[in-house]
Amino acid sequence: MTLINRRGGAARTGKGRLVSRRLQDRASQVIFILVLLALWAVIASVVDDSARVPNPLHLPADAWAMIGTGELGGDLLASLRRIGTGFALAVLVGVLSGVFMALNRRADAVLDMPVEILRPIPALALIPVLLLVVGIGDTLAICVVFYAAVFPIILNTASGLRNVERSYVEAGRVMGARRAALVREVYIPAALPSIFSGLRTGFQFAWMSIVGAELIGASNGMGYMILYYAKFVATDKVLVGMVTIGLVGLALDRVLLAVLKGLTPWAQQWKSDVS
Amino acid sequence: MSQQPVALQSASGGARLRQVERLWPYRLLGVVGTVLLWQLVVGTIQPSLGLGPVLQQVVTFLPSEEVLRSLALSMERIAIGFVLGAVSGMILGIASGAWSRWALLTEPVWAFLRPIAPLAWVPLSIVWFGLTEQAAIFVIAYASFFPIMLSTTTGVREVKKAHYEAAKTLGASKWATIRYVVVPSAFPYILTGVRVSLGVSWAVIVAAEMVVGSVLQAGIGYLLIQYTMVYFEMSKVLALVLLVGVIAFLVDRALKLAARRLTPWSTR
Repeated sequence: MTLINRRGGAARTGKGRLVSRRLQDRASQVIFILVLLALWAVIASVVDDSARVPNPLHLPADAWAMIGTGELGGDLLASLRRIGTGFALAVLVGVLSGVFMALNRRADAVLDMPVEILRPIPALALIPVLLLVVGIGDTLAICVVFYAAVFPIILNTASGLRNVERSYVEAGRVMGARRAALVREVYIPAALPSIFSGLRTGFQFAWMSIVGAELIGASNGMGYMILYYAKFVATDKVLVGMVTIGLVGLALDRVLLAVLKGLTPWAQQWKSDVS
Repeated sequence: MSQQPVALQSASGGARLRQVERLWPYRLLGVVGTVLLWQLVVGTIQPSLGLGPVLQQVVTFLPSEEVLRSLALSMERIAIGFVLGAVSGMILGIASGAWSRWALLTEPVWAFLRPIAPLAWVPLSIVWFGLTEQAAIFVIAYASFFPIMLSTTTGVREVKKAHYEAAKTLGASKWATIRYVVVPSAFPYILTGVRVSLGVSWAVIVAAEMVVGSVLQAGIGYLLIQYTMVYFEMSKVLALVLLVGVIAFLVDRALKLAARRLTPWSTR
């Protein structure tokens, strides 16, 4: 880190004040983005083929129109509902089985092999089977989201509980905590940071998978929407859809991160997660 | 790992030993139970997804020329897309790791692009390349790009200052420093990126081929969707899904093993 940072160091601003440096950094980022957008706009006007390279300057108007007619909102809502349901189920099942596996050796022995066998199968590869079993629609996407999210949650929950500091457990026991109280008062709080990082990974996987599920096995939602517009070569609308997927995914991840961080401010892991 | 929770059950070593011995019936129960559950629930709803028909297809259909050829085509697409994504990822990753100015400028661009799922590029890729192989390859390249770029950036940044200073003290030239300090230190990170991006690529190619496959001649995703939507051969579909899972597992294990062999100095 340091070997590199020295070059772009603080020497550039005459007074070297931190605030003005940060401002300068932000300004240079904005300028860089504007340059890229300008480049894109120039290419778009040179190519002059809005089907292949839509003009970025038209995108805000397109987005506004799509919001106005409700096409964007409806599909976004459909995706969010699916991801909400699938992820909630994954959290429930994942945390419960993770706790169970960590605290009961027999449960661990029973569940370990099935988890290890099922985990490598990509959630997206299940789409054909789901098409046959449940057909096109909400259930398919919910199943894919669930499958994508549940394994990181199980594994992180279990490893979090297994790595709880022994002295905490001993202390809890000395103070007279029995099994249930020990789990509730010692194991779960101590494992919370690890459980939460599992939730976050699970959510990211789920967000990546739902688009694929909707490309193939749905009749609405963001994935369906962008493929639909691509078939009509409405590339500007495809781009608006992609940008929405990116921004909403980013926003949800940030909200989740803020909530989890707020609940476990002591956890080490958030420190590296500044970006 | 699994020894620790014994504390909840008993503290004595003797009891622990006895429990280890008695665990295998539970493991067996787990595997047999899962298969039975599948057979009872799904096999009842859809008999052709049951154990017998699927196992039969595993033996007869999977080694067929059709499947092997599709597998080869999918792998070829991954290979091309991966090389494109990995090379650009490494170049831009080294740039971000080595020049903080460049990292600063491009950071918002990556932050914006990264949450766009690789599969969300499939429709745009179809607009650009049509329903062709290139469309799938482009998506693979995008999917491989980010894990490798990010891990390369981290790898280059995580070079220990002391190592760098030591090389300088010993009079190493710029290239020697890169060769003997930066590369060995960043290599384990890059390998992790390779493993992640190949895992993602495998899932993405299957889904991408399901979408663009109508014109493509073959590919595992195409076979899957073909046998699902056209021939309704459910047991073949499930056999293929199992194949996809096994390959994902084997590739991941092989790369983990290779990483350990190739970078014995790494603690990762």
